[in-house]
Amino acid sequence: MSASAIERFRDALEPGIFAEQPGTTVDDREVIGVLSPGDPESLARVLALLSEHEIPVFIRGGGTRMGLGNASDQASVLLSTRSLTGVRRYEPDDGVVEVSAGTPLDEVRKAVLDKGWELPIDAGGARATVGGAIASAAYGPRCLGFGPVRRNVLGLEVVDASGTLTKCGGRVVKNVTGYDLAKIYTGSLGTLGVISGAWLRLQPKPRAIEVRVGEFSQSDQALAAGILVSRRSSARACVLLSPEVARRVGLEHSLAASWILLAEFAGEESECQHDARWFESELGGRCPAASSGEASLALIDAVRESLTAGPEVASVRVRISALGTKLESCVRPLIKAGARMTVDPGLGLVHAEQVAGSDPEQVNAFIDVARAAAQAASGALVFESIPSELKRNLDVFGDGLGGELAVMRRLKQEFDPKRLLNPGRFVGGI
Amino acid sequence: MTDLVDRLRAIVGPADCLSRPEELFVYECDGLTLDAAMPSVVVLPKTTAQVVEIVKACREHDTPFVPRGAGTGLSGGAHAKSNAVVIETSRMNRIIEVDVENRIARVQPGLVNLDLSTAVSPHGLYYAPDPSSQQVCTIGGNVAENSGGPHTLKYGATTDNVLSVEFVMPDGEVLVLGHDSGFGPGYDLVGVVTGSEGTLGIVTEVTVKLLEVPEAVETLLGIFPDVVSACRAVMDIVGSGMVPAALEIIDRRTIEVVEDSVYKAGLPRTAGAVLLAELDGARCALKDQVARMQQFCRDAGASEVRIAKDAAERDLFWKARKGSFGAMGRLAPDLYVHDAVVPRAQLPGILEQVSEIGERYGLVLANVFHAGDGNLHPIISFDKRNAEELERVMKAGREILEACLAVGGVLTGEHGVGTEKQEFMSLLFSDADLDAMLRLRRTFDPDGCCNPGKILPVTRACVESNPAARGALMEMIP
Repeated sequence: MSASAIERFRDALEPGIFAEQPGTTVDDREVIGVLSPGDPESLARVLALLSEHEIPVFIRGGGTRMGLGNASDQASVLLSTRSLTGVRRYEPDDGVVEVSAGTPLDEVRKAVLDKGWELPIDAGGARATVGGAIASAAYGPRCLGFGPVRRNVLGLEVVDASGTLTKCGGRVVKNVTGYDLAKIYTGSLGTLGVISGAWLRLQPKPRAIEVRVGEFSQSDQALAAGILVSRRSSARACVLLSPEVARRVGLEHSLAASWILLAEFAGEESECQHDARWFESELGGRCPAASSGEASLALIDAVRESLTAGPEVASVRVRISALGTKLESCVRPLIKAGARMTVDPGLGLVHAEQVAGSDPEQVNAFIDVARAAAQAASGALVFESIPSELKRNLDVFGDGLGGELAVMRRLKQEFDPKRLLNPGRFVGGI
Repeated sequence: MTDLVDRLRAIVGPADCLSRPEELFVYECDGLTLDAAMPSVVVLPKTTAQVVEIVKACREHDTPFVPRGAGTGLSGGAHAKSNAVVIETSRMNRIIEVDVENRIARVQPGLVNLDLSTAVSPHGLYYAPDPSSQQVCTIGGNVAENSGGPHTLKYGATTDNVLSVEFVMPDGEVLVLGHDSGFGPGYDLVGVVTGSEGTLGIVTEVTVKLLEVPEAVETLLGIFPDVVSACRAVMDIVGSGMVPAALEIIDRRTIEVVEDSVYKAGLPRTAGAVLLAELDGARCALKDQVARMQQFCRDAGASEVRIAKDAAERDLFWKARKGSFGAMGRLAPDLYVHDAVVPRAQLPGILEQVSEIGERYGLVLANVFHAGDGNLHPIISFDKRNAEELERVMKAGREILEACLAVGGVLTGEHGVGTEKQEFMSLLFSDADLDAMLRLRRTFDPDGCCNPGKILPVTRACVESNPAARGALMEMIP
């Protein structure tokens, strides 16, 4: 990218859109500035200019998950959706809401609460935005009850790589009108288009909440119990935490415990109480804590936040997804390697963190353990956070894709032929 | 074509290659009888390898092909345009594997939807999507159409219940898309293949989620003076925070027809509408919800709320609902079932408009619909041999769709676009929106040989907006 091309591009921009922000990086790549359009039309004009001048960009929402993605030096400008804010339309009678992509999830959560609904998107990070959560297919423990992000996105407004405003899906809860393009934008890390707005499905706020904590000394017993708990009809979240993670989210436990099981039941009062009692009787005396009502939400909230905590907490964070019966073969080697763990047995997700500091040898050894663990469980692996300098040697999305990857490359070619949107950051260097 | 037929016969064997006119006749349309076109030949492969060979043979002979399940679709998605070869998956109907512990099943695409639930029921499991045609429709067809059903309200449509697929690309390459854990890396290709109406390739294996059969089920039948009051009950129920498994409304005309048919369920002929509501889950949670639901119905004007006393009565209620399309066959030789979805709060107003449109065009119009989802199914009975009546049916249909779109609705909730609604796509989507869909189509099928002439409108507007697309689109025009 020549300096003069960027200069010409900057001259063509509306005033106030571009700001130099020294020190702003994507991985270890410093960008020369940040573009912050304030509405979808302005975003469309920015993307049209980028396309005209063939200037590639990195894309950022709240910036809470920028660790996810391959290292890339193919862009030198950052496009932020953070100024596209606001709840555009809240329809409590229908249980749907339309929001601009840069709106923080917390703002939407608060906006819909008063009429008895809640936002079923469980991504962590105080700054996390709707668009970022969709583009990264963000995950939190309440996905057990809420379903994945893809289920709750009804329609999207997307600006394509040429700067044209498009929409897909709709504002109704059931829709097969044409190809379901919202599915490929969800989780595409902005590589096919930039999400500027979304119609989201809401869920009724539960009438009751019960939270229970249990302790285990053996992995196999903990996992088996976790799967059973996840299958209770009111189970909305169920995670197994290794002791360090439990301590981090504020849970006290006995010294003998190697796993702490945390379950949130939500729904009808009688059902939650029934499941909570079942939990206590199943676990016998190993059930040190119980809480009810709104205040008890804080525990799963804390687990969700811990999954996106920054590099000050963990130097490597990996997520492996596998079938329930395969989880143990995945968990054992990671524990042996000293990983801190958050396991979601109901969804088949293992989160492992390594806190080795930045010693590349130790980090590389852990990466090998994680790969072997994923392989042992026939799982899919994603390095959600990893030191930038080590990213250049691997694909953070794993190398498990076969012929599918060629289709994905063609998709990218069709949607972004000039390779301007987050180039090099996605799977296989897309 | 004779060369191709010989080749296909050699691949699947003569018994599974149909080319005589009397054999082809049943394939001239799917559930949408308005749009008929004869295929040149129908093949019934038994294996993925045969599907690959068929696809390659078609490509070599420059002949398009159309995947087909049981042909129960209602939008013309499974019939052969352009003299195409129909590839019917009915011989590929095995359950390959049931993994009880992980609650997933891997099946071939020709497996009948209900047969899967029946097969896994000894393990206390079932497959959730339940289209009304579930006794005959296939899982592969369900993936193509992203089929729903009454229980979509709580458990999602097919897309929420499919984890991965084995897939034959339009060039014959076999791929596995998705990961059985549901969290595979990369673009969500399973998500776009689902609901693509057989235009992106052919699904040859499907891995689906299975659910635990709920501990308890309660089915209520609310008797209402009119459809509008039944709709009000639905809004109050959903707005109160309950998540029922199903909320279905049947109107007066449908009640009369059902009660005259073999699906008779003892519905009161004097009712203006009935609301069929189902709750499922833990037994202890249902009692209170049933009481609340009864109250909502009474407050909205229900004269009576019946509760199914046992499984037999529940089945009877559902038989009336699921058999209502079949029962309509008593009224006239042809049926046109619409499938628009509107925001739930718009239901009362839109139903009044639908009724007004039907009366204005002098048509027999009935309503059976998924009220909880806002998914309407106005059913028009007519005789397509009467050209003047057919014209009124088409005009009324267009007005119904336009009315639904005007209140924020969409063209189809579960039946698909097919050929039926492709020309209406431009009412909902801009040229740029449709171009994005075309890009997806081209990614999988650049030559437009897999189920051509479906979904995307073949109008100039769309083609001209994207000159690069012109070639591919023009090839799709039959």
